[in-house]
Amino acid sequence: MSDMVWYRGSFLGDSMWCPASEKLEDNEHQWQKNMGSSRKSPYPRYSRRWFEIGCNRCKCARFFSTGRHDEYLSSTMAFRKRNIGIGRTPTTSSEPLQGGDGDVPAVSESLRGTRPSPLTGQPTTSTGAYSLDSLLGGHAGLALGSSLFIEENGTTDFAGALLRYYAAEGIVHGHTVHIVGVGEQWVKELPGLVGASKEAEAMEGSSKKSAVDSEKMKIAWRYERLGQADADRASRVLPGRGPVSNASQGASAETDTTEQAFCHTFDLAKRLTLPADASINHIAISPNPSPSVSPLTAILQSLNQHLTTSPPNTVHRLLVPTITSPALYPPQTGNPEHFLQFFHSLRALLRQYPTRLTAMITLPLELYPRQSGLVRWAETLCDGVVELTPFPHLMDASNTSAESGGARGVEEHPQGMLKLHKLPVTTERGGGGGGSGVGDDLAFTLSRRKFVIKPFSLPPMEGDQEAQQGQAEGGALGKATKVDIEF
Amino acid sequence: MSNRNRVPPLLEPYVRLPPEASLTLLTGVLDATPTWLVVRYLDSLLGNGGRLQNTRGGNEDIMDNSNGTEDQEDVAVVLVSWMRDWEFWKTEARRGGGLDLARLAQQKRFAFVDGLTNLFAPAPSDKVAPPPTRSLAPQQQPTARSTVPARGPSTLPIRGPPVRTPAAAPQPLPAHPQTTSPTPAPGTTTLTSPSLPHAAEKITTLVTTLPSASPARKTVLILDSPSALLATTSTPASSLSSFILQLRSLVHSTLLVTEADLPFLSAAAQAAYGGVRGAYGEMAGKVTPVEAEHAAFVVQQAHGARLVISARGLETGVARDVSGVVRVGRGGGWDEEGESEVERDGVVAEMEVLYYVQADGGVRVFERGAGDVG
Repeated sequence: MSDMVWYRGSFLGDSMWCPASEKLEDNEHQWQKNMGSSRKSPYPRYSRRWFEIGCNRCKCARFFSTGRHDEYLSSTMAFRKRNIGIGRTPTTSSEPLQGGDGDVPAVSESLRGTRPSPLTGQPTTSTGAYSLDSLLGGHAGLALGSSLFIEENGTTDFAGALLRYYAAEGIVHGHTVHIVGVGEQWVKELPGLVGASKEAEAMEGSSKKSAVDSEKMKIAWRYERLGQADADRASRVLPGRGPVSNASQGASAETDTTEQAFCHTFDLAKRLTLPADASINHIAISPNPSPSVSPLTAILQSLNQHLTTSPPNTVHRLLVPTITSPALYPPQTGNPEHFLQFFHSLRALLRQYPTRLTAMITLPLELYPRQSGLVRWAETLCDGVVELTPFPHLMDASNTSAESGGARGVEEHPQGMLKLHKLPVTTERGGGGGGSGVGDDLAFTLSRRKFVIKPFSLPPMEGDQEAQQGQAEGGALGKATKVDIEF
Repeated sequence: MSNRNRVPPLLEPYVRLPPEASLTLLTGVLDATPTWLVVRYLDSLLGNGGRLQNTRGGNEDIMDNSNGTEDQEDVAVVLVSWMRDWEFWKTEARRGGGLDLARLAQQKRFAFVDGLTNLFAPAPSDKVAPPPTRSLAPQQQPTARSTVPARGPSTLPIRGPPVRTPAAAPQPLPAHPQTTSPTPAPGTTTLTSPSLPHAAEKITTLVTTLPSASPARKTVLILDSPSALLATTSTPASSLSSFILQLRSLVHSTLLVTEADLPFLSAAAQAAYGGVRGAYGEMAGKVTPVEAEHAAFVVQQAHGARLVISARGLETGVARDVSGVVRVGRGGGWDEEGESEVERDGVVAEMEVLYYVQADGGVRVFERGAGDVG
């Protein structure tokens, strides 16, 4: 106990300490609530509002404000519970959450792959990209009954990767996945699950040394769960409730098989093995319909039919890849009447099935820029809007640096900028700002295993000798980044 | 004292019952929707009597002081929304204003016209009697939105207030054996066609039947994003404008919500926005009908409006405790002569302030730099 290290986080104003000699994994502590403990609260002014939870094994203690009690218990003490499909642990989903108004109906027990939003209690589901989940306005997932519109500049296909994660996540959860336009082959090429605990453990082990959020920084016992981008932003709104990615905790979660997790990790280099009962609906787009008929009506008809005929406990995901792209859609798709009526009807459908349907639509901005009224209307009619702006020519640079192995250790270099223009639920209510992330400078990095979104920061200035040395090989790349930003 | 269920003091003079025959234009942009402003209006107009029981008290004296004159007004509101559904407004009114819209609808003080759900009804043909598809939680059933399976408007006698008793609800639908979908919430009407005459007919029926309860009752019409019709159908702006004029003639006052994003308006002011558009190279000078019609519509309405209240994002980037900027300006329809005494005192002056929509639905409105006293 002599070398007790006091870690202090300004985060939510709590503090924690743990004997450094005896580091335990988070789930190895034996927590017990010490009511009226003799230990003084770190914040005497607020002493009555704090209570202590101590561990019987390592004698470490953590303070919690009473207001956050439920959250803490559920997020840190009830270990994996938060991560399990709600149907399995109905007890954890019943706790009243801060900010929840009870205005949203309780989630059905049998909806797989959903969990209530910590903000409003609305059921949410994962987009398959953990980082993106945590940015969606503090809901820690995509609220059911809402749509996400992903726009991409340039000719790259990062949005397609997000779409693949979204589809794969749906298939893993047993959701009905409706895929528009692309053929069967697309489904066969979905990224495979980084699955079983052993594999995850192996990955953890190998990546431990190089990963940014490595185990050394034990301060992160809580931040760990928040994820990279989350730690900075959504946490203010919502501490400790970021989506727990399966890979980061899968190592010790023997009891939970991967299918119970909320968000999975997928490997773009692998192929998803489709379960036999996977429910996938391919919606073909007729290449030559008559010009007066909207080619997009078929999508809604098929979707509506599936929604009305399927049992009420199925969750549906609609994927519309690269809408308006001439490769998949006939030319009249861009006709405002067809295009926007589709969005309007989709919005209506989403509102009609607020606990069963989500949608993700991607749009290449090359044909219809954001400054056109058409796209702005589509954005207005969608619930969440994400814009991807990949950096030009940076792909090569980051590849070479990865091969040389030099820059990897520092930080993966972002491949583009990501902007959130609109957040599901939040924006509609008039709330922006407030740490919601709209308009922030965010950068994304797509690697084999994950799509990471982080706040963007410029590399050190050229004159900054120390920092440049720290960057070593990364320096040249850093300059490139800076130049690219100023384009 | 919480600022929940309360109209922010700075905003309070603006959200009172507007003078007769006036039009108020509320504009928003993509990341700053004016829905919260609509809720403040609802709160101000319907606040007396419509509030939830448990949220009373505490604010009583303030309410009495601030809008003492208005409490005597008997106001009914008809809300027509082409962008949002009944569930949304009901929830928002409860979170933001503490209003129980369903109860107000029962009292014939509120009516809702749903222009979202069945406007372009997909696949109306083959409705196979499904198991009750929506609302798994039992308590949601009674309040379920009006998802009438699209059957022509003629066979839909539910027209707002007339059908409100639970006993009457199943009767209008005897021709359809498989009426498994929930009956519409009382006081709501669904538009089943984007055509303007259809909407005008439905709204007219509602507006004329609503105030029958008391003759002195004033009706305020709130139109949420009728501009969606400009984009989704080939409705010209002039038709929509005359449609709105027609509706305005029926009611005491009208509130119009519309979008004013730069791309929508740039067609109206090429010169002013030329620099901005020029930055995007290829887009300069290209104006599609969607943009031209929208711009024409918004500009025309702004000229006819008494007040233009616009919400927009913060130009300087995001802030944690600011959602955006709300600006109140006099529109082209501002009537200098008709200013009441209160207004002449300078209460209804132009104003630009910041606002912050809190997570619990409460709103703070404050001057720039006065963030913590709001």
